[in-house]
Amino acid sequence: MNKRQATNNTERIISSVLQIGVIVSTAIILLGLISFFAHGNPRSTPYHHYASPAYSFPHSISAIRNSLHSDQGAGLIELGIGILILTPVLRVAASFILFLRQQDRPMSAITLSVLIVLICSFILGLTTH
Amino acid sequence: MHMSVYDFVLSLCLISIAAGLIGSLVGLGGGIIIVPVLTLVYHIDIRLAIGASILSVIATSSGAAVAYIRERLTNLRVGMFLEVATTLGAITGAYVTTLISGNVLFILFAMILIFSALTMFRRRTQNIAPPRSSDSLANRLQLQGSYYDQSQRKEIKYKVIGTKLGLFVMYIAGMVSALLGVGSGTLKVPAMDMIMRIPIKASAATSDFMIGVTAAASATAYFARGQINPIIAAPIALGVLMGATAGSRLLNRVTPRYIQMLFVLVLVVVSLEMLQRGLA
Repeated sequence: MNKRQATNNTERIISSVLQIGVIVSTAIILLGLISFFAHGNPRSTPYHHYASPAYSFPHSISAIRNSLHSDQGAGLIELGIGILILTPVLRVAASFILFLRQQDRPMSAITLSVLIVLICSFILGLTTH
Repeated sequence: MHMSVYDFVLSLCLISIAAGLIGSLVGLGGGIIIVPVLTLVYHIDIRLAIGASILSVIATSSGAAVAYIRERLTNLRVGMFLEVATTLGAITGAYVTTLISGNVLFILFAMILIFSALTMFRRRTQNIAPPRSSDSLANRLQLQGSYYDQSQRKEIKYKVIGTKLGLFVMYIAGMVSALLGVGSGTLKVPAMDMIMRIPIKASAATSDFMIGVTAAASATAYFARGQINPIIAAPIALGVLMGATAGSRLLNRVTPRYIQMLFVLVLVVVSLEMLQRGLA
């Protein structure tokens, strides 16, 4: 594979990773929204009932998993949002693997350090409240 | 305001389409529109508004990047190189308290934005590519790029300079955005355009590519704290993704000068917003 082909390949794969993330999260969020209105949440309820800090919804991995069985939509929406947040991280991970395979050392080091910073921020974010 | 939850979801989705469209064209997240709309129009709690805004930045970035990468408007190598600095800056900003007060920071930030807007407004010339970049780091990382500009019907080739200063400004941009809760694109685009001499369209597309990663670094904390409310976030995510996908098909067809002027306009609006928050 020459250099131009390698670059084209990288562009195609990274763009596809983002596209898959966007399509999957859109589908799940849309499904969640439909299920929200289909299950016990009348359309005419004033929006402040839901769009306020007093409204509780699942926002941890275990709570989202539990909510999927008896779902009223909120858990499904949060799952789709979680996938949307993870999409850029997957993109960085995919770039790291691609640059590593092309033996592009400086770019591998750069993408790996971004990935490490992101993982650190995830751990910090999940542990500190 | 009395509104049903159904109308809330529909109206917010429509506004988010516009936010995603503008955000993707100028390389900023939709946050500059989303936060004022949620707090001033819908009277949503500021903590929930900021959570939704962070998500809108990620949606703009991923939605727009799909097309920008395929059209080679995004400079992948530059984006990934600068992400090291912005993500580190974002973490620093989120966990470090500053010695300067928030009000002073807002005013300082507003002044930097006004300066960037003036500089961009006055510069009418195109970025002229030097025959060879004098920047050794840019040469070693092969940061030069090219794309086919549909509005000018020609291939635009460019070299990158000022990588070290650019990297420093990106670190500050990441920190400021985390400290003030505003998108970092307002500093990223001028830094790439003015310091690193990357053409405005490539700067906007590369900024769009980067802002998702910077926002993702802080989004987990907001998500875990329950600041991303599903009924606010769902219409915003769907609307912004639609708007950004449409915007990303538009950027290459309009002239670079138009994008510059749109960016200047957005900078002026954001700096006024920052001034108002700093003086409040």
